Amino acid sequence: MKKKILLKIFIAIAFLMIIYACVSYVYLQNKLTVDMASPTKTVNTLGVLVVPALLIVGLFHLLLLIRVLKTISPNFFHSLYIVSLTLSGVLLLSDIMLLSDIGKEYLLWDITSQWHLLYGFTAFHIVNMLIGVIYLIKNPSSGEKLFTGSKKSNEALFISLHNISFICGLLGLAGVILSFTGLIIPGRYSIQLMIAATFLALFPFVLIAIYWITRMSKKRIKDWTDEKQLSDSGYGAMLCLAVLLPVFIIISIISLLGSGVVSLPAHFWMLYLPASFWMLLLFFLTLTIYGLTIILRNR
Amino acid sequence: MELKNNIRKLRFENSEMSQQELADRIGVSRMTIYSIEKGKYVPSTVLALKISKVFGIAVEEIFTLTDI
Repeated sequence: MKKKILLKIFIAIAFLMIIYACVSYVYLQNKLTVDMASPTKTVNTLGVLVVPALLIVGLFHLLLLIRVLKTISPNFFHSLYIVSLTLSGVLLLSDIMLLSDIGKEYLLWDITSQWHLLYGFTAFHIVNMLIGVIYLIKNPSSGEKLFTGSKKSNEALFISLHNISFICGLLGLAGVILSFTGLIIPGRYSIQLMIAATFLALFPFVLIAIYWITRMSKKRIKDWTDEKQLSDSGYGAMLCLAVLLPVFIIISIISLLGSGVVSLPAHFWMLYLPASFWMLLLFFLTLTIYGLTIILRNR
Repeated sequence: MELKNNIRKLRFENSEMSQQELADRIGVSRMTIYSIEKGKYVPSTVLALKISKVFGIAVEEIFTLTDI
C-alpha cells in the first residue's frame, strides 16, 4: 500500500516537472531574443532548474522501463513501447544539450529550429509518460525480479529481443538512408546525422540484448535457447545470408564504378558510396531481416 | 510425408495439462509446444522421447508419419 502511494506521488512529481519544463521553454523562448544582450537572473535560474526537473523525468522513465521489463510480453506493441521509452529517455539528454546551445547561440543566429526540436522532444516524452501511466495501471507488479525471470518471461524476452531487433533495424535503415540522401538536412551534415541515427537506433537494441545476456548468463550457453528457438535463429541467419549476398555484390559493383575505374558524370554522385554508409546499411538490414524472421516464425 | 501428432489430445486426457505446463516439464518454450502441435515444427528425437516420457506412452503413439 505504502509503495503504491509513493508511486502515485512520484508520478505526480514527474508530470509536474515536465509541465514545469514546458512552461519554462515557452517563457525562455519569449525572453531570449536579440534584445536581451545577456540572460537575466530569472532566465538563468529558470534554465538551470530545468536540468534537475528533466533528471526527475529521466528517473520516471527508468522506473517505467524497469516495470515494462519485469512484465515483459511477446506483444509487438510492448516491444515498440520499450524502444520508444528508451529513446525518450536518451533524448532527455539532448534536451539539456539543446537548452545549453540555445543559451549560447540565441544572439548569434536564428534558433527557431532548436526550439521546435525541443518542443517536439518534450511532446514525445509526455506521450511516453502517459502511455507509461496507463501501462502501470493495467499491469500491476508481477512480483518477478528484474534479473531472475520465469521460463515464461524468458520466452517472452526472447521474442521481444527480436521484435526490438526488427524495429531498431528499420529505424537505423531509415536514419542511414535519410542522412545519406540528404532529404532532411543538408548533405554536409550527413555523417553527423548518420552517427546520431545509428546511436539512437542501436541504443534500445543493445540495451535489451545486454539485459537478455545478463539474465541468461546464469545458465549454460546451450540452454540459452531451446531447440526451436535455435532452429528459428538458423533460419534467420540463412535468410540474412540469402538477402545480404546479392546486396553486397550490388554494393561492390557500385563502389567499383564509383572508385574512378570508370569515369562517371557528376549526377551519378549516388554511386560514390562511402564505407560508413554501406556498412551501416548492411548492418541494419541484417538486424531487420533477422528480427523479422524470428517474429514470423513465432506467430 | 508429414508428421502428425496427438499431443493436444493427450494433454487434455492428462488432467487438461496446459502447453506451458508441458513446456516446463520438458524444458522448452510454450511456443515450441504450440509449433509442434500445429505441425509447424518437427521436434528432435530427444524432444520426442521427452514428450513420450511425460505421457508415459511410446513415441509412435504420439507421432505418426502420413502420406500427403
